[in-house]
Amino acid sequence: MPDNVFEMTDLTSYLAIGAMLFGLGAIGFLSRRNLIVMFLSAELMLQGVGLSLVGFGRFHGNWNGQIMTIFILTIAACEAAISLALVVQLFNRAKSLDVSIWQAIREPGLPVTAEPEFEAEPLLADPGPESYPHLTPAGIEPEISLVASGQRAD
Amino acid sequence: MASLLILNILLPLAGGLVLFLGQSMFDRCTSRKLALGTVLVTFLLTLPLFFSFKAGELGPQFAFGQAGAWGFSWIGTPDIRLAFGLDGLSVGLFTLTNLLMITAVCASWESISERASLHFALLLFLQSGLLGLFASLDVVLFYIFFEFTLIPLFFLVGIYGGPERRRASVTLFIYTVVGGMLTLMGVILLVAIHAKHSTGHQLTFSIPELSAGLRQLKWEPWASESFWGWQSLIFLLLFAGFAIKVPLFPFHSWLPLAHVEAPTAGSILLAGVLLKVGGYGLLRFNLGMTPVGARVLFPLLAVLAVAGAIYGALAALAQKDIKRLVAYSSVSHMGIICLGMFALNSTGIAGGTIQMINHGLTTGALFACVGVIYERYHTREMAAMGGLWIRMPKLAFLLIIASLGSVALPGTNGFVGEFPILVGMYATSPVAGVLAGTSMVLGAFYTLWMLQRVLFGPLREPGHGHGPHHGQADAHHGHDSHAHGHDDHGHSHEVQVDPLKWYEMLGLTPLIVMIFVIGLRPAPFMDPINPPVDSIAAGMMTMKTLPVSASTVAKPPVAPAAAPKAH
Amino acid sequence: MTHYAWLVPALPLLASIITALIGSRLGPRAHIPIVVGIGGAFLVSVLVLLGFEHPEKYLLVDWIRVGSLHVPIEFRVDGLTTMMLSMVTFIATMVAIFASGYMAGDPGYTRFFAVVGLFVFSMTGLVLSNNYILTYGFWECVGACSYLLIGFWHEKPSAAAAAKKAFLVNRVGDLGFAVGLFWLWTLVPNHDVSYDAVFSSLNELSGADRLGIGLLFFWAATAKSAQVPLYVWLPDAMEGPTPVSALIHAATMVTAGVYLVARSIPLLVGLDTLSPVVAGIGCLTAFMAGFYALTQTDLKRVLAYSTISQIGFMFMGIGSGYGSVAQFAVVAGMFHLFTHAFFKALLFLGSGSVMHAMGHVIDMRRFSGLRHRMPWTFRTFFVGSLALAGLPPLSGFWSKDEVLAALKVASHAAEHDGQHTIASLYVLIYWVALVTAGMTAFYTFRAFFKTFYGPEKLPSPHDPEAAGDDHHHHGDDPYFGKESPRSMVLPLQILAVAAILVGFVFAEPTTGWFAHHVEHSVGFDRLPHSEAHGFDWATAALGTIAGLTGVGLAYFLYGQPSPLPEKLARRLAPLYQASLNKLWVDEIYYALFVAPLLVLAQFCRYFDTYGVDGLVRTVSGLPKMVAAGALQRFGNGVIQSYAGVAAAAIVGLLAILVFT
Repeated sequence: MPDNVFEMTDLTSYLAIGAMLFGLGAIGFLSRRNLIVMFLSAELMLQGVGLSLVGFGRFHGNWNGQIMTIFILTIAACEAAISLALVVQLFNRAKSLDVSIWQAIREPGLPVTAEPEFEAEPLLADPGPESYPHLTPAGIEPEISLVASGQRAD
Repeated sequence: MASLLILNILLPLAGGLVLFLGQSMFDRCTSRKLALGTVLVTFLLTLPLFFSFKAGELGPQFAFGQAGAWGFSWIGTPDIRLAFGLDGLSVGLFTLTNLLMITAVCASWESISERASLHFALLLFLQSGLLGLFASLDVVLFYIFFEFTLIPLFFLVGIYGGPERRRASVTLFIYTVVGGMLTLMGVILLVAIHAKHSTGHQLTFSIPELSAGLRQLKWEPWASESFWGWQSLIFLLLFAGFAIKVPLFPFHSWLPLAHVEAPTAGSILLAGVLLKVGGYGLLRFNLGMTPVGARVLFPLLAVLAVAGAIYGALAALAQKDIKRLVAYSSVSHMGIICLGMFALNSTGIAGGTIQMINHGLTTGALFACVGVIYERYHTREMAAMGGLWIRMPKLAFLLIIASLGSVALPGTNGFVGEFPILVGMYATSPVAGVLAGTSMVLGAFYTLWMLQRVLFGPLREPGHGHGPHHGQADAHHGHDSHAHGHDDHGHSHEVQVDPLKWYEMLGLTPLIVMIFVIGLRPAPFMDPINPPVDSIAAGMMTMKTLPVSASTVAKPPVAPAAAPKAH
Repeated sequence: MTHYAWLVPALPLLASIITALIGSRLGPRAHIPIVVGIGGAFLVSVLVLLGFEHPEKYLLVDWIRVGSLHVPIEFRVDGLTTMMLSMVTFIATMVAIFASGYMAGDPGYTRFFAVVGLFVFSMTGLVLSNNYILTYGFWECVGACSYLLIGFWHEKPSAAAAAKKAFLVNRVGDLGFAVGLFWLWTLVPNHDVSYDAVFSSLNELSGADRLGIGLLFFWAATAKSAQVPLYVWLPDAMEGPTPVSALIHAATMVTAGVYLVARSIPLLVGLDTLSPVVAGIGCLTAFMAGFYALTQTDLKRVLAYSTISQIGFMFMGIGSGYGSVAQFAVVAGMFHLFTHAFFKALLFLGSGSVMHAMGHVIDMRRFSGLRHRMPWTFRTFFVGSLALAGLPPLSGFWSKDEVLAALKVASHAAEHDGQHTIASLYVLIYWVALVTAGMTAFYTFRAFFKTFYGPEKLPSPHDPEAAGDDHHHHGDDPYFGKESPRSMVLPLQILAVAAILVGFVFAEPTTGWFAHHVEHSVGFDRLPHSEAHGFDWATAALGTIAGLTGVGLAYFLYGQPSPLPEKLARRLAPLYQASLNKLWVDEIYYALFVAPLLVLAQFCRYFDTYGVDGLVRTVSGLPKMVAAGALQRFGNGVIQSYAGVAAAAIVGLLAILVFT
């Protein structure tokens, strides 16, 4: 049992952070088209919920929220393994992480939602026996990756 | 004995698993031998059960545990149990299943050439499911088996069926599942009502306890004779699933399709046993647990059953495909069976119960005969064949006997079932009895016409040129001109059609023998049925406050005495 | 002795099973078990008949016990039973012996005898059974045996069609029997439908119930015994082998209907509307069938129609049971049944003998003058014809006269009761019956003269009537144009003796043995009777005159070649055509009943595909339509839109939770 008193204001800040995390995750999930980024956003939402639960647990003076969060973390780990495996599979098929490529899986007779011009260019596969998914470049590309790919090209 | 019963259910499952897992190992010959061995051993194991069954007893036999708490605890809370046992209503069907399985395996001996191992595995799974269903003493267990039987059947039809097998299997599946859902709702309601309103407020899933408890439930709305009463509502919910399975008249359209597309073994089991699941459910749940509903809804039920009997017969009369004809005849006969069950007296219900077994035997034999013909000529068009008696006299013999059993000739099993049904129905509603009686004439019409087209007349074999082989065949002026063509039967016909093989005889002979055994000496088969049926009929009578029809009131001896009789 | 009566059905059944099992090994001797079995049954029947003192019943075993329905296998031995048993087994023995010669060489020899044994079992069981349901069971069994035997030559499409028709028409009748049975079953105490129980509980049944049940039973009898309106199957049934026609479709099975009505007489007595109906139907049938028989060219069909006509006489006899005539009437009807069996079996077997010699040609236009070639067939056929024509002192004379006498006293009884309509109906029936008796003599002797007199002529494939159905290689047939073998002639001789004697030995004015015997039947002691009824010499004289007139006319027209018949046929063309085409009844029935049924069946077939299944498809299509109309647009393949919808839904649900 937590010893110190947990005030309503403390709970509010916990909840605010949790809501922010959840909102950021939701926005990220809805706005990004990169599979991995979407997955990360979903994880962010989950952590927001987890934070709120921990806060509630403190507030009510019991361990329920903590236990629930640990459950969520465990399941999120499993889920992460599965979804990353799926992402790899999807990438291997389409050579791209763009989720809009998969919008062909829809009810017949509906128009394409994302215009083709907005679609990301499919990444060219790196030469070699296997290729790996790339994150969309953000910021300065690390040197080492060039070196690494160059080495692999040999 | 109780372990023998469990073994009986598990043995086909084990055989099926071996065949299923060893699909790549077993070729056709091995797998069919394995399957035949399994069904034969299973059948032999049933015989001690059948013969040691004590006919006079009401409760389930061969069950583990004490009365009320049969079997083993399974889920714990709620007390859903793994309880198996046989009573008079199920022992016949249980045995029939094992007998028909032999026929089914024999019927697919040669006709299944691709993926035979899987086929036989599915057959054995189906057997296991059916046996478990008939032996279940727990509603949840019953429901699980009820749905489980659908899976092997779905694949049997869907993989090994005819050209339209996909549609047939999907139709079959959806029909049954939708009905099954409604039935499940009904069952849940029954359990809940029993738990809430019985004296001990006991939450039980045991079928014997439920039916006994629900019959003497002291709850005013439960005994309500209104059409909007609880019992009629639950009756209709339960009825939805079972009426589709039976199938009763407007819900039958999956049956002809499924039969035509199914492989022979599938048809034999479908008509022989799976339809009986519906009848068994009606008996066990609708009549056993909601007797007032049966009485309130009597007009509706009688109309449906009579309509099914006549309509099925008429539709059968117009068929050109022999298998479709037999399928529609099933619709007609199952209408008659339901008619007996809805007759509200022990005579009709007992007749309906025994008739389920009889219909399983005769229709199983008919489908097996059709399979024999189909395997040789690859057509079921009656227009393309004729005079097969000349080619296959043994088949003609078997087919004629099966047909005579099907038209309920006295001395065959059909009479033992159909006559009590009609008598019982007549006692309750003369109009329904007489109308259903017309299906006797129509049944003879389509059956004998089928015989005439397939067996009689000059030999015509599909695909080998048409037209009479005897000059005299089409020239006839009412003279008693002796058939001199006999001498030249074997004349100049290049096509060699195989006579009946040993496995075909093995599949058909037991059924034909049983047609006569039940017809001539029905007592061993009837005696187990009478006590539980009397108890069902008594349940209807004790709750009775309203007269069912004017005739039963006007003439006291009409209402068959529900008092237990000395057997 | 009577407690051995169960042997009578048991022996033929045993013989039939033996034949079925080992018949193929016996080969041409496959008839032996059946002949022995049926012969043994005959011996037992005679012993039972002689040892009979008073009605007894013997419970063998329980058969069906379903709910309140209880059917024991219980045999009853009484006057009616013993007489019928002896007659049936005697005829069957003769027919079995005859058939061993007639059917020789047929590939279905074994099957034939096995089914004949089964038939004798069913027929004797029918006669012996002591309750209505058991009677019904055997009733259907004899029908099934008849089906199997009519369709014996299964390659012949006409035989197959005739077999089916016979079974179906009989099923229509059986439905009446069954419904009558249901009706009776619901009313009698303890649902006990054994004869003694039913007859001793008559006061439980109202007059309307008894009339209804009686009419339904009579309806069943019209099918089994080939009466108007359900007689149409019997002429076609001649497609079966001739011994079968003799045994089943002349002597025994077709009279089961008469037996049923006679058996049920205690139930039906006192119903003053039923008796005239039975007699009227019998009279109509007798006259119509006699009319058809006048012009038939097929010897067996002539005999078939004469069977129908004679059974009409039997029903006239039973139907004359008005008031106090009841007992006399039923005895008269049954006595005609009894004597008819002998001479009709004789005639059919005689025609079989002719067919055997003519290479299985039975068209009377293709042979004539056979009296020298087949002396024994000729003589025995002559005896049979005389008996059928009802000339004294042969058997037909006595029984036919009793029927006519019963009709006469019935009209007196009705007059006495003040029922003038019924009385005049009986008078009308009486005179029509006399005319029919004359017609009977005429057509019987027409057939006789056409077959045995005139110039000698044997069928040849070049006959204009041959129509390609003549496959016999006459050279191969040792019996072509010759008298039949011993095994066939012997039964003819025995039957001829019987046809001469049975009337004289059993009849009312001589010994009255038959009547005394039959009166000792269950329930018959309740029948009103009066000593005043008996043999009527005036009627006998009238009947004999009618018969002689018929014979004389036949001799005048057909005794020697003459152009008269031709001329007559032309002069009376409409009548001639109507008779030849049997009043087009078959065609009318087809148009009225079968064709609409088939149309209805087709309708059901298409209704099933497009109506029922269409409805099902519509219902199952509904969710699909909803989905396509409203929900499909959400499945656009964009994950973000799915997530958006989910989020919106959660927000909506939360809103509902929070604000309500």
